[in-house]
Amino acid sequence: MGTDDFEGIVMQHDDILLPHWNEFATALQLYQNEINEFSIRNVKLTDPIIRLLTESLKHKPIYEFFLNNNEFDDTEQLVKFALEIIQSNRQIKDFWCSGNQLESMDNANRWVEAIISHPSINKVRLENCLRGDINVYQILCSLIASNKAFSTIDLDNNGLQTGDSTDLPDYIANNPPLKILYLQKNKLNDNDAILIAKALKDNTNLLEIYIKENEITQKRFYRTSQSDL
Amino acid sequence: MKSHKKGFTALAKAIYDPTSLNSVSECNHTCWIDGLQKYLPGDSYEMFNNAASYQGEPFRPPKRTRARKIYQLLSERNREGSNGQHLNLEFDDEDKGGLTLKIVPKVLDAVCTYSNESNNLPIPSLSIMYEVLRGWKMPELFEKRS
Repeated sequence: MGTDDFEGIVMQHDDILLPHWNEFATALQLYQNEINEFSIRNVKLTDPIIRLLTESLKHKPIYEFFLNNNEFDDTEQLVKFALEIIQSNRQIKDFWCSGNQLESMDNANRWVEAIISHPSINKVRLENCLRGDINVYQILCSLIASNKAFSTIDLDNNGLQTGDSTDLPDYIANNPPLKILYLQKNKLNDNDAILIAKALKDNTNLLEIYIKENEITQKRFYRTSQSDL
Repeated sequence: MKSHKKGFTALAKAIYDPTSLNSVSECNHTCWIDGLQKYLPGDSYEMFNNAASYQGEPFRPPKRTRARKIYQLLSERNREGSNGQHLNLEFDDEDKGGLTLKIVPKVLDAVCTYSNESNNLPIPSLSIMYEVLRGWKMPELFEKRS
């Protein structure tokens, strides 16, 4: 994935746009069909907009809910907005938040609990939103220890470090249903990579691992020129 | 040897460990690891990596990926003319009562079977077949025949 894909100028709040938000929210409320993807990118969400969106998105059959690179006046708005949408929409399968910082362990835990207890979410993507005082490794452990059948876990760009704990390799070695694991732009080291490599021997479900831009040593084993072929 | 255990190298060896035919076979044949291009031989990266589609469905069955990897090892050994030597080492320890001789036709058959798993073979299967026939168990086979 990559948070950088959505970095850009965030559209700021302007009262002049409120009638348009209102019109959009009304249209959403009237729309009775399934919504495959609802994503809000590069937009500052203020109280009146959040109220409008929350009311019209509650109890909608949304399958993918994305919040990418937004701005809020305070973090509680972000935390509550996402929680209300997640908890009131039981069909959501894919929750993706990137570039929106949760700032505290308490906030992160509230989201993780909502994700774990949700009946449908199997893709959890929290990219570049667990920086600061958040113990990212603990968040990862909460997700994998929940026994929830995640198909995708994405914790790209969060400063994740394991302290040489083995919860992640143990999880991989147990061959869970997880298919895709994103751990790019973190602080995983050689020991983590070696343990993951060992764990892969016992895994037949993982299809993709993204692990670039960590603190893993890049020593070549093979040369790459065509003359080696 | 320590450097062989460094991070990306360890991950590459989880996907393709060319120490022996058994070590290749015992690797993970389902997972694709992003960023291993520099750590796998030549242009085999895409062929080894069982790239998943966006929906998380495997691109090819693990058995085919495994076959492709074994063929890669046979090709690498063919370049240095060492297939016979390696096969002797890998099979002789287990050789009891001429069992290895019975395996020879199966190995030759496997060279053909594994070569069918890829369109862009690094070495033609006939070259490997010729090398194995020349350098592995030929005297014993003829002895047995007579």
